[in-house]
Amino acid sequence: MFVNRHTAICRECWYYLFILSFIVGGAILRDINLLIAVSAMMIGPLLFSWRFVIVSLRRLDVRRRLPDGICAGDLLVVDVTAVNGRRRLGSWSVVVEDQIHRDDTAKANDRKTAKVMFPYVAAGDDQTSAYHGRLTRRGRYRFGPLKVSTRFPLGLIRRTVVVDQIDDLVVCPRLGRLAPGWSQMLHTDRLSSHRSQRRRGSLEADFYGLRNWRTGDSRRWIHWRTSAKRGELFVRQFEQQRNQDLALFLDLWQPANPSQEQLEHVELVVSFAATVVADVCRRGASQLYVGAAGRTVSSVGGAASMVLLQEVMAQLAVTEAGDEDRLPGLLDRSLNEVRPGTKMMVIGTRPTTMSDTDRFAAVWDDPQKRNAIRQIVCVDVAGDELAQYFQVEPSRQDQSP
Amino acid sequence: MKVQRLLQINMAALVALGTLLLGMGQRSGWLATIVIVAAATSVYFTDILEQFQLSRRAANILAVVAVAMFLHDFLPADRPGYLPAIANLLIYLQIIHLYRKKTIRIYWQLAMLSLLQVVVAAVVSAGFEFGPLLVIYMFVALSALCLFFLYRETVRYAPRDLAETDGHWQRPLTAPLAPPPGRMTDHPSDRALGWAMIWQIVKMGLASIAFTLAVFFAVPRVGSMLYRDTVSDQQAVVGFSTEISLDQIGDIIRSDQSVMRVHFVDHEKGTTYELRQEPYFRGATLTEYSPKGRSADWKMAHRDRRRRLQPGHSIEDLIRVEIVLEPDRKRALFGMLPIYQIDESTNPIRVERRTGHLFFSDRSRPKSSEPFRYVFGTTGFGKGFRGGYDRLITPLAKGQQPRSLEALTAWDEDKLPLLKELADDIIAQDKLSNEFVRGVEPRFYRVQALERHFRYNSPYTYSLQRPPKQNRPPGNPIDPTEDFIANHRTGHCEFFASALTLMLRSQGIPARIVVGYKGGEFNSVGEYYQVKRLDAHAWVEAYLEPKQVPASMLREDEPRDVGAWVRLDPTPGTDRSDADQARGGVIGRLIELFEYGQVLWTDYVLELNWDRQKKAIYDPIYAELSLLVRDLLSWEVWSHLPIGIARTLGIDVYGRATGRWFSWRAGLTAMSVCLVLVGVFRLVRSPIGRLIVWIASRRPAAKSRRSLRIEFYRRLETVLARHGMKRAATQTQREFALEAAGQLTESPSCRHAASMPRRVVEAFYRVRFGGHALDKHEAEAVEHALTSLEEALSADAQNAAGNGG
Repeated sequence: MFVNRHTAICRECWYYLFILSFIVGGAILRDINLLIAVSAMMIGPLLFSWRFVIVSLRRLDVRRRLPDGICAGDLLVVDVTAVNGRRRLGSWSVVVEDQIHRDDTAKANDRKTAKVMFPYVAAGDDQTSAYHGRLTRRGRYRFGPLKVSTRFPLGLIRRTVVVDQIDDLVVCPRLGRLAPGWSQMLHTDRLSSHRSQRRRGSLEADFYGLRNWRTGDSRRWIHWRTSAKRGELFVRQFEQQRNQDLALFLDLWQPANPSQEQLEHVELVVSFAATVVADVCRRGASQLYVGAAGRTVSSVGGAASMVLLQEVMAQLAVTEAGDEDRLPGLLDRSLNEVRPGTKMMVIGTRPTTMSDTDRFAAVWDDPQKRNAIRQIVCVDVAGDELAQYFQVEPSRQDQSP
Repeated sequence: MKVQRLLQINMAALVALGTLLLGMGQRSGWLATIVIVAAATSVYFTDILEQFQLSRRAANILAVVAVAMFLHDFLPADRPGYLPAIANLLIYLQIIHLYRKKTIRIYWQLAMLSLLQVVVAAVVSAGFEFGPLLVIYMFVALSALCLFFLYRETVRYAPRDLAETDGHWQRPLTAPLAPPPGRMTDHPSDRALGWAMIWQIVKMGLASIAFTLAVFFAVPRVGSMLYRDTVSDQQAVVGFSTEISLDQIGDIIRSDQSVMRVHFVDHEKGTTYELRQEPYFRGATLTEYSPKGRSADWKMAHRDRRRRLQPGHSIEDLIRVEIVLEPDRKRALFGMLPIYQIDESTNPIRVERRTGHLFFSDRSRPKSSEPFRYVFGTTGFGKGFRGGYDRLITPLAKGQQPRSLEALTAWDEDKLPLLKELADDIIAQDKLSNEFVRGVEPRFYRVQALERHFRYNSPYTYSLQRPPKQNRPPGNPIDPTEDFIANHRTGHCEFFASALTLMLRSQGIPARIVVGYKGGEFNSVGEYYQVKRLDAHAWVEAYLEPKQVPASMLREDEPRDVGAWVRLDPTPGTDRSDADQARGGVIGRLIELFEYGQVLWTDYVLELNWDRQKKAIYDPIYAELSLLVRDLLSWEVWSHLPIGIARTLGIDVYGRATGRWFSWRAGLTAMSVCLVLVGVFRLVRSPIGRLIVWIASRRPAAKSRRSLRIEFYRRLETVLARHGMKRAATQTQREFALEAAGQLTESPSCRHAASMPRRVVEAFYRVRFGGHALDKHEAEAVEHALTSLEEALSADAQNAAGNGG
């Protein structure tokens, strides 16, 4: 961790010096001793102030603690702790400035500053304060460096210590709410996709109760503690779940100079996908595959779990739209990886027709993929059909404390 | 909010103190009183209760009125009147601001106006009390500025409304980032208040005072005093006049403004000479009486030639008189008869021999803003059995006889019949006054009889009040002196002196009025007489022919063939012996201390100049330093120091007295000295260590950058050492990293961080030995490795603690 220190004269100090120069000038020109005394009485506190701000930040350690992960629009609370390692002198009015900027943007105005003030940190003590706000856009954010400064006691001299403490935070896409139409869409096709409905082992299912042992029950299901208490054998009961495997293909296309509406469509696609992924991973017991065709093509898949959720969210957080049509390439690459019977859906920023043999020539030319592409459901977020499956959550800032 | 309330009170106190300082400088109390009342009421009604607050419009209107009042005072004023007008404007504006709702801007303006007040006060003030009050003002100002800063910071970092964000997808990067209200108290700045902060303010104040003293006395005064005359015009003028007017006097206000400081020194012994009687300091002699109906004037006679003082080195019983005259526009010198020159180096003065008036020489005339020092010798005091008494009779030297006695006996019997009538009666009733010796009238006893009439045996009373109005018609007024002796018989010293002088003249005795100062307060601390304006006095001198001078009143070495002046003081109740007795005890001592403080304040603060600095500061310091350096470089001093100390303690170092080789006392002393040296070393070691660190921190930037670069390796060692992994002296950094990795692998929670030490050490090798600077990505990688390692070790420590519990 690198540290940079500097001392600066504040604007108030320039005014102070301006007045002081007049008094000193008057004292010299008129040779009035009392004015010399008044001048010295003004210079004394200034020098003391200069020394005090320097000493105030010595051995003052400042740390930041970020949350593990948040979604765009969620309340972000960052704890900042100041530890005064000195034995005698406290620190007053310490201001900690934290720089926040998105990793993928070079815009200067996208760099934001959060400030926290510690009114007093006693010698040998530590104080924790926090700043909060909302990061309204998904992506990877970089926090730091921390600027620690104080102007106490008079606000004339500022001492700043820059602590190069850098932390990253991935802000996941904003989550919405899945509409009833989404569930209906999944179950509509269930009868036609028996093969994808896998019966999971009992140990992978959810435990919901105990019952008496019956012939044919596995010994592994016996709950030995209850059996010992009751004097007869009891076995655990499990809820068997059958979930639909799912493959999502995101068509993140936008023109080279997108309009505000087109930009919002991209965010809708990502948010819709993130909401679906969160729902599927929370339910578990299925396979999930997510591919994104934007500026680059990326994909990730596996058993639905919290680990996969984090992985997909991290990917969705940094996914960017592009002006090239990469969806055919994504499908061509992914359809081999998707298990048969998996529900497939293309969520895009524009209308997509899978029967377009020119656009998806590579897929239609492959006999194995040709069957699969016919089963793909397409959702255009720009159209009205999105409302059947997904609703954007109202802004959460109104719900925050 | 506690900070705001304290700030309001503090700012009001600051304003009141600033105005008080200004009021002291202007000697005007009413405006200061108004501001103090305004400060108190504004805190209660405007700030606390918020019942009365001037709106912006009302404040602006009042400000315009204040400016109009300022212009009314300022435009017709001469230069000395400018500053009071400006001072009053500052006060008006402050009163307006006190009753406004306090915002940061208003606080700034109040502080600024208060500072300007102090600046103006510093220009016009001369009183000793300004110093202590200025120190108090400084502490209050520091406190107010600290609180003001805290208040500004509180306002600046107050939690903001979070409902500012929009509801669109493509929104700004962040919504407002602010401290959450729920995590902090309502007014977090209140936490900053407490004894610790008070102590810091006190420390700042004390340090500032020390700095001020050092700067004030160390900065050489090389100014040319270009504008001092205009400044000194602000100061009150000492009330000495070379004329007496008996009609203009109303109620007289006694002023305690200092006029001069007088040391009496025995010229032979060099010791202070304290008088047992109040001294008379002659300023001017008035001989011409001009009645003008109901008024009358006494004026000086024509000027005579001014001469050098006669040398007086050979005269016995000479008293050296050192006088420091305060700045004054109408400068006059004061002395006593007879007068001799004894010090060539001091400011030369001239004397008008026949009248005894003292004058500046052409070379010595000072500016009216500077105090003036002069020295002369006199034999005007009796010694021996009369030791320390101011003599009544002063024999004349040659050339001092009055040129013409006509002017001293000028008398208009037609206009002043009552005076002669009264004088005749008094003399007729006095036996001694009528006993002629060898045909010579006993003039000495006659003048004393007339003096006694006023001073002791009459219904006359001393008063500074205006005399009652005459009942006479305007066309037939009575002379004010006759009115005094015949009717009201009440007046101040000028009436008594005038009456006695005219009565003496009515008897054919030459007489004149002398104006000057009488007495003064003897300050036993500084051993000087402090003469103030209230000591101004008028008395009478009557001339005696040589035959009329009583021989017993003359010293043996004084001539008998010359005339003499007899001093007569007809004013009753002006002896200060009673007042001196009342001033005894603690209060009297305190008053003396205060007066001595005023003297020091004047000498070493207000009038500190290059000469005084050199004499009181530079020269002693230079002498002490020279002595110290000489002693430090002297082997002889060092070699004799231990033995000298031992002898001082009564230790026989060589055992010459006892013949023993060991001395308990010497042993204990040596042990004590060793302990003291150890203590001193321990005390000094810390500052020395800090000094070394400070010097190291001032090394070239390249070195410090390098040390910064390898800071991350130190951090690695610190982190590992915290968990029991320390590098042996024989290990290289890489060997240490490998060993640490082995230890980390043994713990399941640290296994994933096993490679981190190696990564950090590789980076360290590149920097330390390869001269390679880490780029941004490498630095981040190192930081990441260290953070991961810290987290893994912390988790491991928590697991270990949990298992242990």
